[in-house]
Amino acid sequence: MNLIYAKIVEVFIEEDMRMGRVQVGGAIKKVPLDLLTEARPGDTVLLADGVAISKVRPDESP
Amino acid sequence: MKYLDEYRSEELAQKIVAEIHRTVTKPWVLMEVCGGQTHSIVKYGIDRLLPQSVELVHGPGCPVCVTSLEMIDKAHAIAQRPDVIFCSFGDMLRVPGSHGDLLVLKSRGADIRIVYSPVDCLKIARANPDKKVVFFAIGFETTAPSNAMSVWQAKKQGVSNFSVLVSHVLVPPSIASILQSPLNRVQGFLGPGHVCVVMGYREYEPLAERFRVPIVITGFEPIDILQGTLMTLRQLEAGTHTVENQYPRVVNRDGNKVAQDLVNSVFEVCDRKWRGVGSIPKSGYKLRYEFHEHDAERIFDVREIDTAEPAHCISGLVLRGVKKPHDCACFGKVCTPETPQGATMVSAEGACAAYYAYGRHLELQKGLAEVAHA
Ligand code: SF4
Repeated sequence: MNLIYAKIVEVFIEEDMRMGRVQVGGAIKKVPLDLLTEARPGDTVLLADGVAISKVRPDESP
Repeated sequence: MKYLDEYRSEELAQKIVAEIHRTVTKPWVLMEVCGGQTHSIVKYGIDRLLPQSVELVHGPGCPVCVTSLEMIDKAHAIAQRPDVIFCSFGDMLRVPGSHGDLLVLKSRGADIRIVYSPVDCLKIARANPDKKVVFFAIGFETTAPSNAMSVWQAKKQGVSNFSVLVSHVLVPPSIASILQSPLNRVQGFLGPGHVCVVMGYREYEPLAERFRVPIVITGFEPIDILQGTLMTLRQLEAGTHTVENQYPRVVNRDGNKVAQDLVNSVFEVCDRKWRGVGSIPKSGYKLRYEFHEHDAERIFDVREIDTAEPAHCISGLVLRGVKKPHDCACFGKVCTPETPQGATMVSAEGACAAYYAYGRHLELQKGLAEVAHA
């Protein structure tokens, strides 16, 4: 299973779906953002199998 | 990278390890639920930094490992059909079924494709209207939203040649099953961080209360695991048993409600057979009737398949934390990642594969050689 952090570069609508262009390492990927209604460019999100499932809270550190 | 490097700090790790040593006064057995956590523990040698009286046993949370042999055999039966394009995550390809694996079928000409996301399968289905495109939808609650999304979209967009072979499993019933077993030794849990991203951790609260065990929802980096271990040990030493959240940067108590609604509209809870463990009531998801047109089991009518597990493989006991990989006579000898006998040797998240990847079979051989020379 694929779980990675990604940074949202752009949010757009495609075929009725909220999509995002996200940066994963050096690569740019297109992923559904439908499950994260509040995510916007600049946010870091957790992708599970190519779908964003959580916004990372920036104020948390160990 | 942010959110990674700071959770791999050696200095911080040393501080937490020292605190763990100060905290522990008695022997304790902890289980990390997720295969990803197992992998980190073995990779960074975290279990060896802990006091000798603290034992980490490895849990059932490797989705590839617990997918039942029947389901693997059904996948093989479907993938062999000439009218099918069978799509799967890469690590399912080498899982042994009763007769070989998907990679062998691929080498014999079956159209088997590795995909990164089930949503990508819709594109494949649209591009191949004369084929039936099947995705092997396995995994825990973490994977359920992407699988549900693919089925939901297929129905909405009328992609009628796309279906899923569903073998979803759920964590809380497996924890209950481990705790109810007469063989159980586990006294506290490092809970499944990524599962709780989706589901939240409310459903772990009744488990902690009923079985009087602390459950600390924990992340996957070394600092996460050490912090989760410390929090669990503090509870055990204090005699408390609540659910705590070590992983608040992505987990909250309620989880992702939008994802849960999507999952609940596509799937319903069912009994599920776990590889090496057996059937656990209400421990899986199956497709709701409204989506039966996308149900590969119904479309291909592969419901009854007889299977046989290799008798010498003890992966069922490994998955329940009763045994460790090096307790298996085959570990590192007949069973290696090149010649896996059981599922826990295939996936990187499987305990046997993690022990092998980080050289623990060599230590075993060295230990035996030392005994022989003594
Ligand atoms: S080492 Fe191989 S045979 Fe032994 S339990 Fe693990 S997977 Fe099964």
